[in-house]
Amino acid sequence: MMAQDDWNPFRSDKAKTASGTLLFWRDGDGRPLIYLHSAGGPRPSPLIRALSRSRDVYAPTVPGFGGSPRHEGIDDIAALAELIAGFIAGRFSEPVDIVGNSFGGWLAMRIALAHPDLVDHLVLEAPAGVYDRDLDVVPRIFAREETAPPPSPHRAGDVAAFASYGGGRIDPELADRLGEITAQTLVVIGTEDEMAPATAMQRVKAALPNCHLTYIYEAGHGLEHDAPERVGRVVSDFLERGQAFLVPTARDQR
Amino acid sequence: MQFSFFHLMPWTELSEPPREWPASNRSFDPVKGKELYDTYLDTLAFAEECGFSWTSCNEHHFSPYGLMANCNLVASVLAQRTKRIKLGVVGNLVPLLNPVRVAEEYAMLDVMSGGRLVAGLLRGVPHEYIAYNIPPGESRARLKEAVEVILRAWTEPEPFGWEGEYYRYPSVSIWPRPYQQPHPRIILSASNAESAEFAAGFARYRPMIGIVLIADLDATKAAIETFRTSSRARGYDPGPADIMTGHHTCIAETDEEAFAQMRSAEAYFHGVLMRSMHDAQKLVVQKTRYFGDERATKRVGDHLAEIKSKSLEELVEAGSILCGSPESVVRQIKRLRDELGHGVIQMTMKIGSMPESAVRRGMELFRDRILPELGGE
Repeated sequence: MMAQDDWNPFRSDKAKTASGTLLFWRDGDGRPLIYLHSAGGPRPSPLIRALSRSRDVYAPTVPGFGGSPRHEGIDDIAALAELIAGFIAGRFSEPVDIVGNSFGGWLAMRIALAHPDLVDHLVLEAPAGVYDRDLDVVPRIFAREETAPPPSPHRAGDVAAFASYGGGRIDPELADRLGEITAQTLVVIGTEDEMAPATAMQRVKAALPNCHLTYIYEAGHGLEHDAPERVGRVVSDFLERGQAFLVPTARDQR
Repeated sequence: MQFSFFHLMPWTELSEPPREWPASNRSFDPVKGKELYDTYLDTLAFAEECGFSWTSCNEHHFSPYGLMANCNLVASVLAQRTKRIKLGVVGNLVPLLNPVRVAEEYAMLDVMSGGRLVAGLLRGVPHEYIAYNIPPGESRARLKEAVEVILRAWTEPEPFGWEGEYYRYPSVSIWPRPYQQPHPRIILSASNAESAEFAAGFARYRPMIGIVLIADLDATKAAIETFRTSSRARGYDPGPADIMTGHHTCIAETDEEAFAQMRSAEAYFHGVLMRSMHDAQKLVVQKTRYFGDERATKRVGDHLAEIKSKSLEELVEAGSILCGSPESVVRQIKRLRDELGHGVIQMTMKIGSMPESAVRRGMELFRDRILPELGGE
């Protein structure tokens, strides 16, 4: 059986940036899609694999996560957003869809705020940056133990990197400017999420001018692993059909 | 104690039991039907004048057992005919219905009644799954998810989508929102340990529980204890007012009169109205996993058989029914309360063919001689 941290068939690649080398995983064909990982570090998931069946998926490793070196001068979320925005701008001539998981959702919102021209659709999975969280208390992340990924060997470094970018707290600038994120956005959160409060997701939904909020039944914070089919279905549908994902099709009926 | 006046709206005109379930409606007389609805609605409204805390109705399908396919229609009439009494809608059979529609109708009732709704979120009886073509084996899982959808629909301040196992909604935002905040009081069934545990799983919504089929007091006590213990472990400490039991009830001037009335009414109820239901129920219960395991299936079968085989005196003793003079019924209620530690008693006075005059007299005796004894507690 394939280990859960085995990225196969994704290929490892890297891009030169002004501040250092940015690692990324890539697989699939079609329109490009950027996947930004959670504070759990870069790891494959059923959602990433599903997306790569119809999209050209790029999953950058945020410097400091997964045992990767930090970039000099990239010390906060704003600088990090510039780094990833530079990667997107240097590679694609059209706006791209971004899927961001938790920490990655926060980063995605920051990119969309600073560079609206680079972003097409935005998917935020229980995004960080919009609620305060005591990092010393780690709640249950996965509602279903049997499908949870194994703990990362780089966990200590991942946690340190997350904290150093300002993770675990409300990002005040983002909170003030949420209404400026004009991208078509889908926020998803598990009904059993013990990390991200639903009230924070409701605030995001209320503040963004083009935003939908969907609850994933019986999923925890690690919703990609807890409910891969439900997350995959709603995210793929939104990315395929945009706002029209609200309109049921014959395929949806059962 | 609080008291709920409960009505099934039975069809009273059959001379023999239906041959099968669903029961043929050939003999239903709409003119008589109109008359019955008028009478029953008057009775349910009269419960307010008699000092009951709730006036209550429920949902059944395809049978003379009850003329309330949608009890929300009845509750909406009562919202207009009464002023203060709670509307016990006990309740919508949630897995058979569209949960968003349930949330909407309950929210309407709550607003129209000024926050008087007690919202039953029930699983129903096994054979009624045939009525709406829903697999009975999925009943518990459907109920669990539907309750979550309903509570979300009541409480979410923003439009939301739902991606679940049985239900998918792209975007929900009900109008009106409920009157009670954060949401209407809910009541779930907890007739055995399994369902008591299930109800406690919703502790975050601070549910009431209702137990309406008592075969013996010890089993009921155990179910209540399970609900309390399991709820406390989840941060909710249910008090007496959160626990209801339901009883066929006959109150008359004397014990003899009450038992005689009850005997003939129960003969129609069990011999005519319940007969085809029993057969259908057996079919569904035996052929599906409706009751999680074989023991539970057997237990429910035994329950019904036991209730049918017992004398009225034995049923009083078992806590199944309340029957007698006002003084006797007060004693019976006090005993139940002391044994179970609960605070809400639901009375079904229109049992089968019970004459309307006897129902009214029972309600007046309740008002004049039972409520003064127990209502202040």
